[in-house]
Amino acid sequence: MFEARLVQSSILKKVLEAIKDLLNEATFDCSDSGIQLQAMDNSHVSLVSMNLRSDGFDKYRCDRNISMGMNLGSMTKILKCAANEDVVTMKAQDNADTVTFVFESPNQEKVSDYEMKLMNLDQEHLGIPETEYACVVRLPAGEFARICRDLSQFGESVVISCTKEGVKFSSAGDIGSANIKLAQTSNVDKEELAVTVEMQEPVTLTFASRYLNSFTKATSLSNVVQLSMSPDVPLVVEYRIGEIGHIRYYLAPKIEDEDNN
Amino acid sequence: MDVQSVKLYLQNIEEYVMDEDKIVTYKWLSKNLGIHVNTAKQLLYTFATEQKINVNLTYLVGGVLCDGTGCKVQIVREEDLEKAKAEFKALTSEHVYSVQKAKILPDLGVLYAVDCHKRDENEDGKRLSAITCSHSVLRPQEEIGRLRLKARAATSTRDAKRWPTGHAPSKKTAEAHSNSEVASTDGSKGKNGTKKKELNTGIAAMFAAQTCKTKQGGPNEKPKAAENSSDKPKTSSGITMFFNRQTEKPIKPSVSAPKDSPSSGLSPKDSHGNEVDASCASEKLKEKQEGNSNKKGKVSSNVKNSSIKNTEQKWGGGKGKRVNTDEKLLPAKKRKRIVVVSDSEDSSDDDVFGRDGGDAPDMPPLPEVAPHHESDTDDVIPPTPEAELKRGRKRVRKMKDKTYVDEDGYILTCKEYVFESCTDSEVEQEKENEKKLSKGNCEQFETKKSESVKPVSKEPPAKKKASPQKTKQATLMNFFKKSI
Repeated sequence: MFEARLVQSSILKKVLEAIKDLLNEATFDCSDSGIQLQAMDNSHVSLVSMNLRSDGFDKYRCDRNISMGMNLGSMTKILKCAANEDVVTMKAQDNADTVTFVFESPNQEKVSDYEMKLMNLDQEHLGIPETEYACVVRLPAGEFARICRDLSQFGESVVISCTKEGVKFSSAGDIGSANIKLAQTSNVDKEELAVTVEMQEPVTLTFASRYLNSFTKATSLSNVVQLSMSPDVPLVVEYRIGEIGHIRYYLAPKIEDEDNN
Repeated sequence: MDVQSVKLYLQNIEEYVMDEDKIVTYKWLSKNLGIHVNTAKQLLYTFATEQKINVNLTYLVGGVLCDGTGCKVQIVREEDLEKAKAEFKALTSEHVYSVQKAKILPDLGVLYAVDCHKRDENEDGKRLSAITCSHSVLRPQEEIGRLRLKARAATSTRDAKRWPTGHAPSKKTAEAHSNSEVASTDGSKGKNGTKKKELNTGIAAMFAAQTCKTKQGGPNEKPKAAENSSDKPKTSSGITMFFNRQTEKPIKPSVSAPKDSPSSGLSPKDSHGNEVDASCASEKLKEKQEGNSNKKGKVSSNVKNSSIKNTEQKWGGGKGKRVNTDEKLLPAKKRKRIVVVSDSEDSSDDDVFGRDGGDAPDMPPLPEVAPHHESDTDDVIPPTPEAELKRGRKRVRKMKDKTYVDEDGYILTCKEYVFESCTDSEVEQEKENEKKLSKGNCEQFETKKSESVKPVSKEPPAKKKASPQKTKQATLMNFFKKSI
């Protein structure tokens, strides 16, 4: 028996918004410690890793580990049936092929439940090693979304270079080139508005802007986004999900092409 | 035909339709496989019955219209078949016209394009026709020469009188042609005998027929002609009046028209063309002698004209355009016209009366045939006959090697199909090219007009542009290993 009750259904809605751009379906791995989700997009260029800790839920019960393969499009449809202030409860039997979403209005006057069929999905878990990143940049999530959106107009690639002074995003294409430099905020009044760079060594990497744009769909989850980079390893874009977890996106960098083509 | 060859043919059709995604018309099939048109129709029908679900059909239906306005031959989509049949009082012909995989044929005009190449390449297609005539033989050269002389004299006189502008004569001949078609269909249907004679003498026969219509009208005209005549009168055209006047006016063969002679001299080698001119001339002479005459024959010709018109309207705008362009052409056209005549006989006549059977009927001698005559009251201009339409689209398709130097300095040779069109407008050529290219065919077609060579691909520069940073997207699998 699995049951997880979340007071704010809006969190679940936002999580789904944040991943449905990249993934069509995903497996939610439920265990005693919480709910995890890890999945790559179809092109295997980016990976979504989400974690919702069990203690973040109003009520959480997971008798035995279960993996629920869900069609995210269907799940989105169901979650749209919930009002933002509704309390949502996910329920599943141990070997069930369906999951039930129960939405309760705050005053308990309205209770709706939706049952969704589960899917059998190939498990493709990647082992992600713990890495010390050479650069870790924190910046307002809205700012990052804005930068990605603006630069994607210029080219399909965005170069992120991180130095002591700050971080520079640049892109070039048919219409010209664009550079956006963010300097470290000197005195931090509000943490969520600050730009901070923790750097061991300068890093410059190139990424596909369309994936970055997909990542920024998680902007509503958090005020701050954290970018972690090391030379020749995937970029990590991390958003915190309230107090209960996080969502991390991994994006493989573009590498120099030997063919020069 | 034995079972085995039928099977083989059916396999062929399946290949054409299913694998090569062709539109297979019975005409195309007949010429392509060298089988009789009736066999081709039967094969298509068999194939269509077997593959009912997978293919789409068009039917050709022809017959006498319910509303009494004449005859009509029409090509209809399968789904419209019943509706179209309802328009006819009596059906004379109904058979599968084409089979294709495309579920929806956007425009029936494309069917025409299917046939036109074959037509050009395969001029002796007559032997596969359902209508045969043992009397239809090529005239010896000397006779043609003689007739040509006469024709030149006759046409020049007449043209000088009636049409000061250069293109009028072609109109006239076109008219004559349409008449001839009428005559032949009527003949094959009602009296097979008449047909033979007409074939033999070509256009001349038609003119002669007009003049002697009255003479023979009663016995020859058949019940069909009579029946049609009641329906017809309205459809007769203003142009037909010209013919009547011609017959009335005495022709002075001795008067030479310097203006016309060059044009007729344009095609000394074309025996067909010569025949036409010659026949015209001889016909006119006959007209002179016999003077104006029958009104009976007119009816049938009118019927024919209207039916042709109807058919053409059904075929859509494309054809109409062609007609217009053709009409603007110079008198030199004449020489091709005959070729078309024979072809149309093969096709359109066959279409209408294909059910009548393949046996060639005995035909009465030429003068008796004479089914057509124009009436003075005709107001409707008959459509340009198919012959002209076909002529406009003459094309030659050749495989040519094109060698050119690449941007990188490589010499590339590519085999291309060059599609040369003799008289088509640019627009049509371009359309044709687009069609071909969109098919995903890797062959490149060039119009004669734009002889420039198109390189196969210019991708390298485009690529560079797309990724100015010269980077390649790596996948996450390069960085992370799968865990168990």
